[in-house]
Amino acid sequence: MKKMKRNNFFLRNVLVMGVLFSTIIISNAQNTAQKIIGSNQGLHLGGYGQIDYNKQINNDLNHNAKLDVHRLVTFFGYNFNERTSFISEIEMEHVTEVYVEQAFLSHTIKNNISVNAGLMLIPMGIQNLYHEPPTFNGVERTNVDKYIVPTTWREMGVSVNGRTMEDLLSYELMLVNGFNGYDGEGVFSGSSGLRSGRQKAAKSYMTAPDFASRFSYLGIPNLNLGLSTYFGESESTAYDALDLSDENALASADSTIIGINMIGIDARYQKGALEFRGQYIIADLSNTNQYNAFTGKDLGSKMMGYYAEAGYNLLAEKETNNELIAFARFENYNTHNEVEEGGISINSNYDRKDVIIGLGLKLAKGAMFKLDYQIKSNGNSNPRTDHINIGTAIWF
Amino acid sequence: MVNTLVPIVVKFSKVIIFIMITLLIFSFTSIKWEEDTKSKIKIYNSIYDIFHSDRCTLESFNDNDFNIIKEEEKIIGYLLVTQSFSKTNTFDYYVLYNTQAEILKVEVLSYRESHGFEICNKRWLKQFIGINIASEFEYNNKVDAISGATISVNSTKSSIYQNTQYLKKLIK
Repeated sequence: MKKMKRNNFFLRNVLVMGVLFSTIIISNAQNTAQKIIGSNQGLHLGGYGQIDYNKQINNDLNHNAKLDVHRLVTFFGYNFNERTSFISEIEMEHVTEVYVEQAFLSHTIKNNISVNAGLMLIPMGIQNLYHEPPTFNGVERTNVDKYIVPTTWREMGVSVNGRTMEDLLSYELMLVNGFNGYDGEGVFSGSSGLRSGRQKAAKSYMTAPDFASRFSYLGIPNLNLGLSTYFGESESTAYDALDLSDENALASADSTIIGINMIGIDARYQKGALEFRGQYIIADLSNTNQYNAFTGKDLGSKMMGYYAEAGYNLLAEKETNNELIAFARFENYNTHNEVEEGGISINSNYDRKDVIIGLGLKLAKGAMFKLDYQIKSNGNSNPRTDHINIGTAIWF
Repeated sequence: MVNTLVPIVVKFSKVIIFIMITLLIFSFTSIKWEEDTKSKIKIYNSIYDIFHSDRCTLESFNDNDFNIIKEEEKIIGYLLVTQSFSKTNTFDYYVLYNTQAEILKVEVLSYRESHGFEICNKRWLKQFIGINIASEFEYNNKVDAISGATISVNSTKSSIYQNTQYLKKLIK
């Protein structure tokens, strides 16, 4: 009886994988005409998609597999003239959640300088900015980016960006609204850090603007180096209609915000068949004791995350445009890297390490089939959890 | 100070005479780069640098994006001015060829967005100089990829490849 049950599960899994194989979408993303609609040269359409199959593997327990159209994003861009454009991305996550991922007006004021205003991606780390699925290895985005950045991080603001030093240095300077830290109750948490505080331009509110910046240096051949910063304070509804002369109310409101100082460095190296990637982000959070005491949360005072990844295109020497990339990545992210003295104690379960190895098969420019095996561990003595992930990554 | 200024003034006056002569003798129907003075000066300076001649003239070539570079009735090279697409916009670039349709220089004239600007890097564009386009696979392999600029890189490579192939056929 037991043996028959196990065979049924195995057969079902094979069937599921067979269905997934047949949903590979092959597109030729090279055609300019696909990006221009009708006779209107100003309109550009595009999109990307991430479709996942995730299954936890555990020796003694069975786990259901999860299948998800994780992201389906449509890009609408309109170029009014040589200097002014509108860029927008509309995202459907998990089929039912609709979001606007980007929506900003861009105007070039001088040859290499432009001003953007609207809903924009915060330039922290690699994957928050470059997140089209065929541009990264692994079915899912990195957990360092998910928990520490936190991706997809986009807020409303104004930015100045440009390039200098003969196009070897690019910069972006941005004023944005910050995280929602308190809206009647605390929003941040020890396990997911600032992630729940992302306002995503859904009726965002702002107490005071934050400052974000990014610099990319391309002076070294084949290497793209980035430096990102973020300085500010979280927002709080306790500051709405607040009488600033009322000391008690002010002290109470002050306990609902935290200061955020983030710095990230990242590097991407690509030459021939080899690719390397690394990222290191550190987030310094202040006033966390007061915040935790007021809201009952367990936010740490320092969060840290880094990863190192190596990839190799096994088909580089063969005469084909397809790529088969074998990669391995190690991630370490800790939302309780430090806690403020005299408050909560460090939860070692929040110190997480992931090892992931996998393959990516590029069938065309913008269509990729991914497979990876992920080993996640946390704390010191917790058992590890393994996952198999399979996915399709599309970009056109 | 005066010593360094004189050669520059001399060079520029040659360029200005060059522009006046060509505008007077020929009319162009190709891309509107000729209306952009900065681009014109860039291109003419490059022609002067590479062909070492201030007596060059440009002649349009069958109503396409190519121009024949002539020095006193003798063909010394070709000029391509065209555009390709970046992630959300288009960009203009030019290529200088010798009489064998081999690439002598590639430069981006106008890049209109922040994504993929890495292709403007002169060192990266140097990879196209003298590149062999006999085998598309080898050609694609020879040019380095740029992380974060995939669309623009592929667009540049493909545009240059197709245009160079076309030129090779034209001059046969």
